[in-house]
Amino acid sequence: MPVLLPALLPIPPKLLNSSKVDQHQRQINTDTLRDVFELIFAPLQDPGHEGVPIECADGKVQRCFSILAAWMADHMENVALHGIKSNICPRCKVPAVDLVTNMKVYPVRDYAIYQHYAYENWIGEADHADITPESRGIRVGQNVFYGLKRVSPSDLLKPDRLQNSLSWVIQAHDGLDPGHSEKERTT
Amino acid sequence: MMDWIQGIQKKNGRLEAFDKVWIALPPYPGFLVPKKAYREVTQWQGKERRNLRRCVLGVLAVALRHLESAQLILFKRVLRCVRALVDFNMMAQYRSHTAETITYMEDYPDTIHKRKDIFLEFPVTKRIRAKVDEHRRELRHDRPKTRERIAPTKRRRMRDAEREEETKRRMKVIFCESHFNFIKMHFLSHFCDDILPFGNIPMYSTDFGELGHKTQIKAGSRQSNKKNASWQIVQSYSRQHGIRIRLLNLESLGRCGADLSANVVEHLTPLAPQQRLAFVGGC
Repeated sequence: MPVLLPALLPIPPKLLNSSKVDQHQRQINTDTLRDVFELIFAPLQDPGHEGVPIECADGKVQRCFSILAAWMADHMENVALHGIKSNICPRCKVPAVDLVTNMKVYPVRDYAIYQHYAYENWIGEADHADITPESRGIRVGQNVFYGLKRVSPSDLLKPDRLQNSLSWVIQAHDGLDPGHSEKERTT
Repeated sequence: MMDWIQGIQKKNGRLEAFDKVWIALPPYPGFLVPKKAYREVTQWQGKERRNLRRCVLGVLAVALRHLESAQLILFKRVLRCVRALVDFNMMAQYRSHTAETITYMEDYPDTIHKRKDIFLEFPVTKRIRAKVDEHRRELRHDRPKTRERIAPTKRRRMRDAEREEETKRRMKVIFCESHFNFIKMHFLSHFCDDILPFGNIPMYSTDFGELGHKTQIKAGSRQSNKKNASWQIVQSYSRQHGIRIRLLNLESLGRCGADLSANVVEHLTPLAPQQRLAFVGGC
């Protein structure tokens, strides 16, 4: 499998204690991340939309479309890239309180609707302005994959055996032995 | 999961047995024998995790032999839950699937969800910890303070009673607040959805990216002069990658019978020395 290194993502500075300064820094981080991803995905946009002629091994020239198929990352990276809260599934519309159930009835998340919703809200035509995407844990405009041709951001998430399956065996949760409090443990 | 297993074993006095069985695992081709007891390992590497996944069920089953009758039902449930999780993990490694294996993969999370309640007191979050500490502080604050002299035996009895009360309150808070409502629990339900449209699960793994850090970033960082290092890392890796592609092209051309000079053939690293000699002779 060929592995290319197109870019290194910038590392944001550590957040300070002041929440107001943190909020400002968070916004800068999000904007920077989005700009960097726009730069990275720019070469994919036109070939994804129009296609490019590529000569194949059989000698024929085929029209090929470059479409982003998967994005492999751990959950916290997905949270940053999809612009969601950490207790939200980037793929389906499962409510945060139902993560514990094994039900598969939840529809796939459509990020285009959130953008549309935010636009309607902005021009003041929303029918249900109280049910905002923010109230559902979505930070509108922060999904770096939104806007790519022929790509649905919710389909990019793939089960990862390292982060989702294997790490389950070692540590499924930030747990602590209930017999000891944090203070007792450190001492 | 191992935190939970360790927790439930500690509660029932089975940790020593688990460690003994863990350290006594015999060698087997392809299996890395653990050198330390389970509790002595501070950081788990990928290979060690894979080893653990293979043998954890067996080790646990051996460690839970000769149980008291009161523990029997509890540990049977533990074993069933762990088995479902380990089986799910093993099946997620399959390179090809049939309708039957997919059905199995759909059933295992159901088993895990049915039996996970036995671990309820172990997924303790920071928020619950803070709440437990707060309750303990309140309890200690509310206790009447006496300045009278108390006999040592009576004092000990009083302390024991206080400690017991604290434990009861702590467990009550933990049982009330603890939950399995976290995202990894939900992700298990998405595994099977991707197998039919996209193929086996090991294809999509962050293993490759994590491995790539070593050659792509760390090596590049070491070679850079640490000034504007990111640019240098990307540039140097792109050059190396370009040269590798060029060499592969030349090698392929050489195989097809193209006329390559001996200097070029010398740099075609993928060929073994004997093959390279034969190749030069052929040219």
